[in-house]
Amino acid sequence: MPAIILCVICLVTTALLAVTNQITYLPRLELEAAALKADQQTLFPNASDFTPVDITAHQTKYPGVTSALVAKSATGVEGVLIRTASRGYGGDVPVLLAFDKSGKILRMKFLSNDETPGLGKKVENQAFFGQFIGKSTDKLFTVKATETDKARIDAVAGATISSRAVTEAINAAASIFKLIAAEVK
Amino acid sequence: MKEMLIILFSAILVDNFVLSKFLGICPFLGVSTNLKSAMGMSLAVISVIEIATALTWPIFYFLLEPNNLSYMQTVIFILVIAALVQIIETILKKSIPSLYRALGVYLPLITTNCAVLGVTVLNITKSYNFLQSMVNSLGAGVGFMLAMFLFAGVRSKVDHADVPKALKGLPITLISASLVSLSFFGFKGLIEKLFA
Amino acid sequence: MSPKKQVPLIKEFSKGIIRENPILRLILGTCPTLALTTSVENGVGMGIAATFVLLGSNLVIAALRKVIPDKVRIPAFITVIAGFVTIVQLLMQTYLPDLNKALGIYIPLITVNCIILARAEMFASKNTVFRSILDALGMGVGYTLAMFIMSSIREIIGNGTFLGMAVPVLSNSPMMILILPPGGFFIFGILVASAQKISETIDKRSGGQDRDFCATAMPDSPACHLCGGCNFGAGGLNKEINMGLNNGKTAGRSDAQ
Repeated sequence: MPAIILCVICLVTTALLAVTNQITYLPRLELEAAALKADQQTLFPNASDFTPVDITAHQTKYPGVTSALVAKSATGVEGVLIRTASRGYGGDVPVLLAFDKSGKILRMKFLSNDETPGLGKKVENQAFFGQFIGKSTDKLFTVKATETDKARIDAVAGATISSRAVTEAINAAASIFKLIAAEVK
Repeated sequence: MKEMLIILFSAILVDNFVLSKFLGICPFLGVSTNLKSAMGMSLAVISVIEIATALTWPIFYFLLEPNNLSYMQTVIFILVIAALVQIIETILKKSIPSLYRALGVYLPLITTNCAVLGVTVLNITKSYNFLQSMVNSLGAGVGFMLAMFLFAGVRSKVDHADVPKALKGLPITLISASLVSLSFFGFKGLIEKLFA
Repeated sequence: MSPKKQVPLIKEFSKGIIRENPILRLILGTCPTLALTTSVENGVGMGIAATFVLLGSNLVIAALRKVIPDKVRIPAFITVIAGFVTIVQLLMQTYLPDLNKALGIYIPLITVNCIILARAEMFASKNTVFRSILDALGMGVGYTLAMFIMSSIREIIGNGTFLGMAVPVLSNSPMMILILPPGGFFIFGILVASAQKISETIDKRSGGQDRDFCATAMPDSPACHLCGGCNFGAGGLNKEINMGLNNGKTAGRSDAQ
């Protein structure tokens, strides 16, 4: 008898949760879509149309890059919006990048991550990510002084892992950009 | 391999579950007055955490997510943990009474230990695969043990000290905890130096 | 057990605010207290979320108190509490996404917040729905108040801001340590000491009133086993463990002190 009552309580709870989930499902989807739209607007303020590019063929080599969208405005193609991520200290560090047609980095936005506040989180400061803005991606980036064939980036002091994660994420995005550049017309 | 070591060491030292993430504070403050109870509690926690992870990870990825039931995560996880603790207690009582006498009393406290539910949820949030989850949970448990041991030592010293009346009891315990937590800050650069 | 006096309704509410403040006096639910009081917004947000869950669980458990069999009491409580936590989680994901991200894993951890389980066991399962609601509100207000005080101190001095707005003098060089874990422990210790002192003064002034904390505790209470006993429980599982008693049968207030 006690077990039956417990089961009933469990079932009722599950039912209530299922109902709540249903009620909040659509609003949550809308929220995600709105957030995505807002991000797109931040990165390409003039663009009105975002067309996805199929990058599945390249994702085996660059698994961190999750999506690429061609941003078009009334005047034509503005550039490419790429979402990329690389494992940092507290998990993935996702970044949204706006490339212009030549592969130069116009803007970038950090999505939520778990880097250490006061240390790894400092990669979100202009002092660090500003080093990427306006740069062309003909050369990839590196935080190591020894890699002379790449453009040198100063890591955040004491947060090499987070800095490197962001750098690698951007490198992957830049590589993907080069691979799909032909389709960006 | 390197990634596993990073996960392990950050859970134990740099981002210690108790002193940095603040999970498992209640038993940390309650049961750390002497080394023996600290040891018992930690061993019980490590075992339960590992088994709980081994159960909850597959349940989430093979049962809940494919059926769009991820909102049931909290309910299912805590019931699994509570049931697990109950089962372990019963098994220990029947088959290894000596172990039951030593560790059994700590088991009920583990159900409401934030660290156990916390680490099972964290493994899902961080999208760790099974092996990474087990390593993370091991790190959580060992980190808990480390914090308990250190703190048990600190507390036995504080017990003999002359504490101002207003701070006697829990307040001075908390202030000591803050100093132990501060000492762990020294590890912040460890991962960078060792693995970077 | 002393004969249960009919506690005046207003006392059911007000006891949770100072005398039996769940964080500062009962020392329950310390994990989110230390972790989320780095900013007033997070601290109060957590307080309100937990109050909501507490209200819901107290209400349902009090309503079902005659129906739930004794043997499956604890799993039933856990299910109800986890249910309400999930509802709060879903609602926050939908309507308060930023707060949801800020509070992170501490929202599901409300499930094992001993305040809620302890009140379910100690109060809601033995009192009417109305009193349980008052108790939940009182405890909730006390909890949120303590979170507010602690996070104000930590945010104002540790970050130089209040609710995100910069504070005149302090924002120039805030004492960052207060935002970090050691600061959390430290401020908590100071607040517990202050609360102790204030409580003693109030008690002295009112002529040493009867302290009913955990007076409804039954020896053998599984919830006390689960939570280790609150600060007042002269018993509590923590005490037994520390005294090396391994039978773990008495819990809560032990009159044998």
